[in-house]
Amino acid sequence: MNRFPSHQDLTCTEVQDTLEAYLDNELDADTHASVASHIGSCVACQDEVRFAQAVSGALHELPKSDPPSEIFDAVAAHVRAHPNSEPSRWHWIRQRFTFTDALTLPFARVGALVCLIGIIVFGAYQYRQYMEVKQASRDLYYALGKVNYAVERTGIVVSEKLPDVRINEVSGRPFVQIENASRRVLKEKENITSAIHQSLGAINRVPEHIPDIKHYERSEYKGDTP
Amino acid sequence: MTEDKFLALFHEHKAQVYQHTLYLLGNREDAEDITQETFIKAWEYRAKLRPKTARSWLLKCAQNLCFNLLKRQKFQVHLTEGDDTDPETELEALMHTHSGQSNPSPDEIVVQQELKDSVQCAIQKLPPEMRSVIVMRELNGMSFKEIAEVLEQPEGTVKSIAFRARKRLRELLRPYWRSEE
Repeated sequence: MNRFPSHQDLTCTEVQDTLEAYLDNELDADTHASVASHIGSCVACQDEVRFAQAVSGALHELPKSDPPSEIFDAVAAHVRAHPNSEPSRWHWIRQRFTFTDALTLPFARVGALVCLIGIIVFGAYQYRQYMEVKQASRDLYYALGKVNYAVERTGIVVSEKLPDVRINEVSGRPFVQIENASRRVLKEKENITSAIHQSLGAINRVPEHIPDIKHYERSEYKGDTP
Repeated sequence: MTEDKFLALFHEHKAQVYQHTLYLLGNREDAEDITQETFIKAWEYRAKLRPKTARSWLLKCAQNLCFNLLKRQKFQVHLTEGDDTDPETELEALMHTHSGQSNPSPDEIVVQQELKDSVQCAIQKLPPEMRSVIVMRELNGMSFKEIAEVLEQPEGTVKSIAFRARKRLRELLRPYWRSEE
């Protein structure tokens, strides 16, 4: 093995191992220059380059031939024996526009972008609505808790638990179902409406969506109204 | 894809598919069978076939069929055998119909003719994967990127296989090379 320290320590074996990449210009610039420099001063490697080029030349000149016509006859017979079935209604669209093809069209890209933005905006709007309703529900619970506390302190009415709070599916607003709420009977034979009216004065904040007073009046306690 | 378009596709790619199978298998009869089977399969999968990617699809299909055949028959090319289906005989017969390069010196003509005569045998001694890359690169003139698509391998790997294949061919053909030293 010959060594050529002046050519960045490249040996003949190393050069001849990379000869194909060198001849195809696939080496990086530095390595290419080193190999070229080595070949320029090494007779053995120059001969190897000629040999590699001769092999490449022989490969390029490999004979090429067409298949016999019998193959075409057989393939054509098969194609005619298995013709295309009746194309579906959307066949021409599927044939012309695949999904990936469609995305290459400018208007399709714009359309896809607009749809994406629309979905994001609509989703954000829906989420905001949901959060508003949820917050309103919390506010209502808080307010009713205050009412209950005030009612209890006045000694007029004591609820075992808060009325059921649900979300109206149509309006999206919370409402109270007094009828379904279990409660103890009034101690002082007072009407729950008047109890709430008294207690409302005890709390600072009255939520907008406090249950309609008429709702209470329609309840089982209507008869107790003074 | 209509029948007419498919048959036009056949005429466009038949030579490359046939050469690919012929050099992979080294046997004319098997190559014809595989070529025919490849196009029949292509017709069955015509719904997925696109003109842009047809060549890659056909070569990939042909290569898989060849590898399956080689595996199934435990195919081995015995270059020293002299029967009718001897790949060396068949491929040399093909080779002699091909003209040489222009203006070589008498010595070069002798050397290159010897190399030509031997290169077929050497190709058949390569592992199937190397053979496939050499045929696609040197015969079909495909780029490394196109070969990588067919083989479903990275381009760098394909380059490495191609360079190793040509280096291996050099080693196999060295006895036929007359050094100028």
